[in-house]
Amino acid sequence: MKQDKQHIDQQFEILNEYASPTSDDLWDKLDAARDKKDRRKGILWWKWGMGAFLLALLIPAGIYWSYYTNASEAKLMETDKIDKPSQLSTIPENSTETKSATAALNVEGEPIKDNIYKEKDTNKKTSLTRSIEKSVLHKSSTLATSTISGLSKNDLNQENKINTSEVDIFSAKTSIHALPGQSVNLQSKDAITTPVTGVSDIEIKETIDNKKQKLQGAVPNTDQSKEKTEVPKKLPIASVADLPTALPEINTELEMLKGRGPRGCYSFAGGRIKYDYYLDAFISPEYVLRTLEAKDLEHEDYRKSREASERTLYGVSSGVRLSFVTRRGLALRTGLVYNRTIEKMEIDEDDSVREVIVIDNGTDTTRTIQSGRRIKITYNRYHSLDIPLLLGYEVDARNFVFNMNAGIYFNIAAKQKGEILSETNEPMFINSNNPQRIQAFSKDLGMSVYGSFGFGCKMKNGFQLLIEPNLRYQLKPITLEVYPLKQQYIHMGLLVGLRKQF
Amino acid sequence: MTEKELIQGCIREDKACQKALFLQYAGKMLTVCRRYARHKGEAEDMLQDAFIKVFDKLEQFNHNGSFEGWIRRIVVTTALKNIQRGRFKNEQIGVEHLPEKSTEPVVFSQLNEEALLKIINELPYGYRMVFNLYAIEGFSHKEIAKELDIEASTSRSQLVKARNLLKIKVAELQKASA
Repeated sequence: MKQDKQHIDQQFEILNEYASPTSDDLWDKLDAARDKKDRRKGILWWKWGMGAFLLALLIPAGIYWSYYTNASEAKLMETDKIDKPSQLSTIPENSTETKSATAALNVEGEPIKDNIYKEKDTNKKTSLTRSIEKSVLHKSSTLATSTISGLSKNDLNQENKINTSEVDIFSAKTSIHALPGQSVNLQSKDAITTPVTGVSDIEIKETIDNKKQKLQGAVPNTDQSKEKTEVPKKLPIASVADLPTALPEINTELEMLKGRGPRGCYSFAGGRIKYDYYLDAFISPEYVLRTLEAKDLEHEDYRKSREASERTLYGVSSGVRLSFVTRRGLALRTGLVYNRTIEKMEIDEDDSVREVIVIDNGTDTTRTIQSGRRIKITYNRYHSLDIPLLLGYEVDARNFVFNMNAGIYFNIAAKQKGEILSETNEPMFINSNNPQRIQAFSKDLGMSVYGSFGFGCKMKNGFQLLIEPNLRYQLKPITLEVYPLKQQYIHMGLLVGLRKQF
Repeated sequence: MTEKELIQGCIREDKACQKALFLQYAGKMLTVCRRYARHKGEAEDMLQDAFIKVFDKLEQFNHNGSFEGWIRRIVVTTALKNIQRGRFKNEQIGVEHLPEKSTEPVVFSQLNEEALLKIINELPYGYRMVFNLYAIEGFSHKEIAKELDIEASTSRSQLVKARNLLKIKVAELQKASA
């Protein structure tokens, strides 16, 4: 039995040395399959690389956006929640502080700065004014803290000194709320015990409480102040409309704090977005990678013949771009970009024949048939026009502005000119306006993914010199569905341009 | 060109070396694939997949053992993986009803390799796998169990049934040729 088993197994073991006859095209199929796999690997690498690059750009931008949105919303929520009746005290209209405050309120913003300027040295003024301009939230805090009144000029001076020693936004906030005029006028004229009282910042609150304690000690009629604190805390909606017309900005800010933006302005997390506008003009020489892929194995030879006869030389993009950049550094860019990619087609024909006709003396002709090697060189041009839509983030660092951008290029037109080999290995025109052209290329190239990282070097008169290495990946082939090959591009460029701020 | 030079050439992506290496082993490896595949077309696909892996992993060959054995191992593994993708498992249905009794010894000498391959291809999936791996590749039942994700005892019983079925098929073939 055992011998029988071994006998069977041994008989089949001869198959180990048996070589089956193989078909002739087995190697060609394997070679083609390997080439295809390599190309896929290459494309996959680029796709992953591009994806990672975009993520690297978008994630920090998203985090930044999210952080500041949440921070702004949190401040507003805190403002609504904090109930501080002790801070709602006002001072009598006939006090000296009230008079000075009325003067300050007549023109709101600028006089406030003027008041501050009087209290500080020049350097401190500059930094504070910048802080005021930068954040709408500060203005809301002005309102929120404006009800704290009765601060004497000495208190104000002291507080300003303390606050201006800080450089963050809270210093500006604290400085503003210390202004005496604004608070007094609001309280006295309209009896507003504003619902937005209270400052989210604990440090500021403590400072205010300290000042108030000092103040309560200084103001003789403390009972009157106490009574005032019992005025209803919520501001009726109707009373917003009743605010004096001389205070349009306060109206606006109250509306914003109540959850609706000012008319005609975009509201974002409780504030207005302020943009800087830039116009870029640029040129970007590019190194272009081309992938050519056969849609099936039958056309693998055709792909090889095109690969052998064509070579991508370079690409160049140029265009204009309009950038809207928020004070937080977020940028939205759009414009118009023209791209040209140059390829060289070279055909070497060993057994070419040509006929040469020479006209002698204007009448006689000599015809000569020549045979030999013919080298034909054609420079193919692929033109495209795109509209970029990019999201960016910019960081201002003294003389430089670093930026990163990611987004989409939408193709609006494409044109080709030149010659490529046909499936029968004959050179054929690709010119978009030639009806006899080979039906190979699409006039709509679809979308491309764009990513860049660069910097702008600040120059005089609001100009910047831009240097921006970039990468653009065409999402779909530029070839038609009916064409047996897929032709796709990746552009790696170095954008050089000028930026002008408006 | 020595085997080592051929391998070095393949690693350098020299097409001529790759083609030479392929042609040197393609016939034998196609036989391996044909033992696992249902038909020649499928066997050629398996061979293609296997050689793509061979060229990809050539740098990992350390020249200690037989190069042919190394390639054969890749081919067998690739063939098994292709089959285990679930494309042909339906064939296994009903194999338990095949005869298990021992048959008379048969004379194989009259059958050539193509005939033997044909007989193997006619075996149900489970029998074919176990018989190929055990009788021809030299795997143990434990290794087969691991490769095919079955019990070692199942492998043993499938082998017995495969042998019996082979004897019957050989006898039928000889009877028909006589």
